[in-house]
Amino acid sequence: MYGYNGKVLVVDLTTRTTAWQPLDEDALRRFIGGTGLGAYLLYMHCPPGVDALSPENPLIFAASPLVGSRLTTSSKFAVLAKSPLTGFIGDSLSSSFVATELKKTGCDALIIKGRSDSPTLLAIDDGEVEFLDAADLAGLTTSQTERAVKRRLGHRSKVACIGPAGENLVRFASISNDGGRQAGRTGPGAVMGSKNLKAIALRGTKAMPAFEPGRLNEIGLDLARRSLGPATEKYRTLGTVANVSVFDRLGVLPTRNFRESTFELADRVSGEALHAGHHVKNAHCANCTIGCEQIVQTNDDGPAERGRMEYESGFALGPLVGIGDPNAMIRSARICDELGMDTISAGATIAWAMECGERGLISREDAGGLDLRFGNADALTEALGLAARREGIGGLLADGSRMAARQVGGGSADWAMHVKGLEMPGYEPRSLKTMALGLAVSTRGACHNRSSAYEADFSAAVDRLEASRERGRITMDGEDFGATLDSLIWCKFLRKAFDDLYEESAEIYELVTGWPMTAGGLRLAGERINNLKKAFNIREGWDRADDTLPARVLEEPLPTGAAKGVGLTRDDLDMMVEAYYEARGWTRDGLIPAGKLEELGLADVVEPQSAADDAV
Amino acid sequence: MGAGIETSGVVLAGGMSRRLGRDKAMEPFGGEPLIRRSLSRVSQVVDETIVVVNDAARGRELPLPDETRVAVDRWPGAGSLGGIFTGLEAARAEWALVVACDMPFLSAPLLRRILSMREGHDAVAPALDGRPEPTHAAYSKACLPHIERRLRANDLKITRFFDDVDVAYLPQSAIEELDADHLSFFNVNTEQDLDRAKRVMDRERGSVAVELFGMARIACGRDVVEIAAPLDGGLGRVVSALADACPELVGVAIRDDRTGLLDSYTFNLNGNEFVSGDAPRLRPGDRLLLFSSMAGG
Repeated sequence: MYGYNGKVLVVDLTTRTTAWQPLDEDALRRFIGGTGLGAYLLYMHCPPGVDALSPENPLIFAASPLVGSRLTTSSKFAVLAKSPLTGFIGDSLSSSFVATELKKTGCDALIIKGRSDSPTLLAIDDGEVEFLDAADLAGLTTSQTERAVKRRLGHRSKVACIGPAGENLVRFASISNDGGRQAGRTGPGAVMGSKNLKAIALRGTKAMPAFEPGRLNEIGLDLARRSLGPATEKYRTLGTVANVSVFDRLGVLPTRNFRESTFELADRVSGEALHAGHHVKNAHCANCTIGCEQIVQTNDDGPAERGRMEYESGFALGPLVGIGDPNAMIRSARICDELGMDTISAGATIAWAMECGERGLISREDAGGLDLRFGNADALTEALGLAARREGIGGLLADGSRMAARQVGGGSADWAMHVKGLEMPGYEPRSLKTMALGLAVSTRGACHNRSSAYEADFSAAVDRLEASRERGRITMDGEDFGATLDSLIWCKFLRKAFDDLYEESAEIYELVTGWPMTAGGLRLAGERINNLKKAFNIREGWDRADDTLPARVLEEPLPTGAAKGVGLTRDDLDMMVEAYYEARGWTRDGLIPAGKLEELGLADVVEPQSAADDAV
Repeated sequence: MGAGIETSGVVLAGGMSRRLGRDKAMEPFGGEPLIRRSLSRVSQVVDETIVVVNDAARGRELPLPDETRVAVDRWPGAGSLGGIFTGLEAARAEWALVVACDMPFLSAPLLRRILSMREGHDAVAPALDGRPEPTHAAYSKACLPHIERRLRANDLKITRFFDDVDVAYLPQSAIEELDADHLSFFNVNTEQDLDRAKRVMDRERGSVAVELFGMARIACGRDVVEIAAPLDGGLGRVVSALADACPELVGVAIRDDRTGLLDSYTFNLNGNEFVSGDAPRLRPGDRLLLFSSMAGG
């Protein structure tokens, strides 16, 4: 077999046993790898209705056929589990040498089941699995953990681990890997923590030959050249944080818990400002030619910190919490990375709490002396630490905004800015109507990435301020494109470097695996994977009411900026959601008809109870 | 319906140009015949264009692009209502956007806005001071029998058939967001109208502010650049004026030959409208935003 190992490694932490299970060609071709293969394995291995933090919830690491090919941006992996934040499918991607090392151990995916009695370090060395005691790692930050594991097992090991937040089952805990890369969204770190699994160390020597290495190399060189063209200019220069100033100007920068969409201090925390005052260098992911990562450092009198800065981290730990101090933003992002928490959910949950503080629902006394109000940087950094340790008010925050709002009540659910329990990213849905639909229907909750639906809004193709039925088709196409991309796995930032992603990827897939593939086949795989994810959610109790947006978005027009006065009505959102179901060939209630499952080649995977009989 | 054709565009050119005394469709305006100007604006928002003329000979005389079809008025002498009927009947799409050939200031964003309101209606018409503008409106084929009935009854006032169908009206406030001076509806009937139109066009040669973002801002060392540009000259002229004002942008955001932006950059007009290949009509005081064409992150 080329491009794949054709095997899954299943590790049971309860019984301390391992099993190598075959993955047949049919499954690999249908689900490709990454998020697609992971979703398939999750569907097969996760018993319906289990608690996300129970031993029964499998934690799945999935590589892809491109991993090991040395093609630019190809060293990526997906992490899947039932999400402790949403109760639906949790999937997260990360880019690092963990992906290549995972595959070199001899598997395409690693499934971790059960729960260890004590903190454990899982060492996988060329297919040999060891369950090592990790009592000495307990409580360490992510970088401390990685260093300690490497000291113990050697520097060639690639490490994925959790920080204190994962150990304390913070529902938005991340899995940190290979020098601080994060698989952040949907809380995979909490699932890892629930298994008492502090770290995984991977080392392998298995070669990953391609079917036609010569031609693949030629294509790879050309792709690397194209990856340095205009399609990646923004990422290579200022990085994603360049969005701040533009989003502010367009009225799409979520500010103070989505009360506004412009931020008066945006120029202080913009990509341009960070470049001028804080930029140290650009860094690259494993096997990436683009190098979008901005390494920044503080420049004030406080403790010096150096770390990564992305738009999503910056928005969530800056404008969203009303903070216009770049040094506070850099420190907060660093705290999240070190404690092992998703920056978006962490910032958004604290933004919710700050609004509760300002409205008198959480008093200073409730917060253990913290003055929870927008713009208070000390309160932000304190709250991050409390959440990671589940101390005091942190116990409330650690469960994310949805559960916290249920506990606090007082109408605070109306400003808990999440979809299905996953906190919203930095794209204001009222002034980006395609994105609004993408956020409402995404299977993993409020996610900008799985659909990239914002892309249409930032173009002349649609009027971003007006809802319309055509958004249904656009969002579906974006999701299917995204699922293909996330299964192969390519970096999102490479997507515009292709003339035709499907055509070119189909050829590359053939060269890597030796199996025939067409553009249409990849497109269909994207659709199949999104339907499978949806089927997982349906099995977990999803219903039509879950595909919605927070009350604030549907009730309050934007008060400032280029989109002042613009809102989004429930009727308009419903119209777009219905159009999306129709485009997908689902029922009016958003269920998948049996005929659709048949058409997508899912009938043997998805149980009929998840399916409905009639399409729209 | 024709494959891939969602909207047709109908340009009415059947008028006699009595008051101007010469064929107004052929009148040069902004460097091209008036009808070409109308057609190019309409074709930005529709999938096919049709020109309705009185007789086939005139259709052959008009300077039309190859892809534009000609329809000969099926109801000669019945005025614009007959022209609307003829164009709508000839349309390959279910919907047709209808305008007159003598409207020099048609606005693509406003036309798009009209089309965006189609769902669930038979026609969409903008209304000024409560009066609909029927020769700057969109009609579905569901209107055809109702128009025909009025034509047979020689009841030629266009808006009379609006009583028989479901018409959505674009309110004045929405029109004014896109076209504050209602110039879209301005049509040329007399020599005086033509003079006025030319004065409007001259007035619109003026100054535009370009707001810079990302590496464009860093390269220039400033946030905003004021440029003087011929406002009807298309984006090429704006880019060229911008390159003169800020040579640092060449190679960063502007192509080396100064004819356009690099693919990595895009313009947005006033924080609202994304500017694609078709140049927007700029007004004095407009603000063009120059930022990365990549929205991700």
